[in-house]
This record gives sequence, structure tokens and C-alpha cells, in this order.
Amino acid sequence: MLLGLVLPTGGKATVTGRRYRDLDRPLRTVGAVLEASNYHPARSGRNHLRVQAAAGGISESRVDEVLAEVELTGAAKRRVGGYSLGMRQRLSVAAALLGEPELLVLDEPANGLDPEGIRWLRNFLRSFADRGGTVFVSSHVLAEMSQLADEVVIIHRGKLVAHQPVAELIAQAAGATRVRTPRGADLLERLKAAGIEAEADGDRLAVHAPPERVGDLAAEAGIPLHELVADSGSLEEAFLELTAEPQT
Amino acid sequence: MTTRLLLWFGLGLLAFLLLVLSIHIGSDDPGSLSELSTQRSTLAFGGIGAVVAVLLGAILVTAEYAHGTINQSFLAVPVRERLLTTKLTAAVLVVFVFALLADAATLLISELWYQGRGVTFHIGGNTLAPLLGAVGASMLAAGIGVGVGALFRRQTGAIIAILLWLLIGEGVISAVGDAARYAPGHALAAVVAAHGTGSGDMLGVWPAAAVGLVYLAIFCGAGFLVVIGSDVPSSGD
Repeated sequence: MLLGLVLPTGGKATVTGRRYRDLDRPLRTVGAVLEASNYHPARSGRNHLRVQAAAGGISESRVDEVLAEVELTGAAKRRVGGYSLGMRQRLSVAAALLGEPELLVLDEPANGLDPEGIRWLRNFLRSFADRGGTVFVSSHVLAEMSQLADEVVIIHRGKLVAHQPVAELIAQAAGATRVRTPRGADLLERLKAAGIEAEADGDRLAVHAPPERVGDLAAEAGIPLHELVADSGSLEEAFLELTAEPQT
Repeated sequence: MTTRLLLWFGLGLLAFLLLVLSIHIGSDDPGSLSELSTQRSTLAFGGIGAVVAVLLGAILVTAEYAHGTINQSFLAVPVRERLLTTKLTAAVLVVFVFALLADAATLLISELWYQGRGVTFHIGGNTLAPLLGAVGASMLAAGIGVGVGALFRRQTGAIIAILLWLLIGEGVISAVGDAARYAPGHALAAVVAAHGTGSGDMLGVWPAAAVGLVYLAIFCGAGFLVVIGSDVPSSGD
């Protein structure tokens, strides 16, 4: 909908304040990486980019520049039908870069990529963002997004449920602090007195407080701790919490 | 669509023209061959290019959907009607060149066969009219093909629909009587024949061209509206 390929039933989507179709030179504003299979298989990689450049009013000299940027120069004369999925994805990125846009929009870019391909893509997108560009990725691979993204937008059943920095969202989903101590009962009493919830399981406690607070309380009471670990949350846990359906 | 596909279509058309002209001229007696009406109808064989043209027009649109490149085209040119109009213009221009080549081949093959049969081939205004008609009909057919392609968007469906109509539909509609003259195939055939005035089963060249333009407007209008109002598939067929 953002790129005008799908027609919304209501509302509007804009890029730099305008609908995509109203942009003067859209390829110079937005670079899109969509399906890696959208190629004529008989065309070479170079010719595919030449067609895109011509359609977008972009100088043909950019073709060799973007091929070098995505490390596909050596395969440029080969037919796209013979490319691996990773190579086709890099060609997609090259096409998106033709117009030197400031915004990249990618839809499930890591689908089907091997670990090397995913790492290449991650490093490339990070460097693009570090150079001042904006990267907008739609993905359901939350583990990858937690490594890549600075901010995340979660949409569930057509509604916006979260728009936050990733670190903040993960911290909210963080679990309890795990504690192991030979004086579990004493620590439990101390925690209750401080208004902190905790559950005991043998010599282990699950405490609903940051490890720093638990450590300070234990030290004040002279209670030795043999283990003090914060259960870190994950983007997946945050997503599942935010999108959980109410129990009926 | 690639340049290679265009070349194959061109070679196929040339081979077909060589075949049919050889059979047509080779099997006729010299007396009949010397008649101007026969020579005129011989040159009308160049109109076969109109069948190739309508298919090319449809493929120009449907190939993009088949390979999924249509979304990249719409990303480059998001005003869809502008892109479709450009495709229509490109189809008409490419087919114009195709048709000229087909005419040149028709003329050359015919001249060579006539020389071989020892019959004089009269190349003049009256006999050459079908060559111009073939160019006009091919250009109209290309535009209609673009419209059909936009309407169907699926390559197989568009090609089957076109061939079914040409092979069966036009034949069935001939049973309707004089109204069959207004069917698209009949109208384009009349443009090729390029007769000044019509007859019972064929319009005159200019009314036929007008009918062809109406069909072009209808198919392109309907096809463009469908494309403009539809979501673009995220991947090819």
C-alpha cells in the first residue's frame, strides 16, 4: 500500500508527505526490495538493471556502480534464471539502489537466504542506515529483526499495537531474576518485606525485580548468593505478549 | 518480452509467409496469376502479420505479470495509465516496423515467384493497397492485443482467448449475416483488403478502420480500468 501496488480500502499511505504515485521521481526517493523471483529469467542481471534504470530515468552508469556495491559484477552478464536466491536478492537490492534513494523498503528480505546471505543483508542494511538512510523492513523473523532494527512497529489484525525502540520492547518482556542461595527462606522473607514478589523452588528463587535490587537486599541482610541471573526477554516474547488473544 | 522473442516471432512470420505464398502462387495457373485481382489478393497475405501483432500486443502486457516484473514497472512509473499508454504506443510502433518488414518480405517472395512462373507482377497503386492495409490492420491489432492483455493479465488466458476468437469465434459470427462485418477479425481483414467500398461480407477500408479503432478503444479502455483498479501481484504467475 505504501508503494501503490496494493489499493487500500480506506485511508492513505504517504512517503515524504505524498502518495507514492505523486512523487516526481519515485525511484530516487524510495528503493523497494520485494520478491526475489520478479525477474525475466532470460535477461542478464545487467540488462535487468538497465531496463529499470531506463524506466526510472536514471543514468546507465549507475548500473555498474550498484552491481559493485552488492558484489555482483562478476555475475552481471549471466542470466538471472541461473542465479541463486541470495544472488537474486542482491540484484533486488541493486535495483533498489539505482536511484540513490534515502529510503529503502524491504518485504521479508531474509526469506530463503542462507546464513551467509542473511549476514550480508544485515551488514548492508546497517551500513545504509549508518550513512544516514532509512530502512523500513517488513518481516516475521523476529530474531533477525531484534539484531537489525532500531525501532519496531507491530501490527496485529490491522491495528497498531506497538511502536517502540527494540531495546525498550525487549526490556518490557524481560522475565524474572533467577537467584540461587543456601538461605532461600531468609531471602524470601526479606523480599516480601520489601514488597517484591518471588516464587521459591528448592534452593532457587524466581524474583520479580531487577538483579541489582535483589543483590542489594541480599547484601544488606548478609545472605550469600550463588547465582544471580536476569532472564532477558526477546522480541518474540514481546510480540506474543502484545498480540495474545484474551482468554474467553 | 525480450528482443529474442521478437526475433523469433519475426522469423516465424517470415517462414509462414514463404510457405503460404509459395503454395498460393506455385499452385495457381499463369492466367489467374496475371489478373490484377489475384496479384492484389497475393499481397494481402502480408495481413497475416495482424495475427502476430495482436499476440505481441497481449504478450507485451501479460509477460510482465507472468514474470512478476510488473510491480517493478509500476514502482518506476506509479501512474499506471501512463505506463499502459506507453506500452500501447510501443506495441503500435514495434508492430509498424514488423508490418513493414512483413510487407517487404511478401513483395519480395511474390516477385521472385512470379518471375519464376514467367508472369509479370504489376506493382502499382491498385495492387499495393493491401500492403498499406496490412500495416494499418497490424497496428490496430497490436493495440487491441494490449487491451486484451491488460484485461486478462494472465498470459495463457489472453493467448487462448485471442486464438479461440480468431479460429472459432469469427467463424461462428459469420453465420450471423451482414453484421459479421463488424466483428474485430472481419473488420481488420477488411482493412487489409483495402477496398474503397464495402460488400456484403466486408466493409470498405475506412469504415473497417473506424470499427478497428472502436475495438481498440473498448479493449484498451476496459483493460486499463481493470489494471488501474487492481492490486499488483507480489510475484509472477
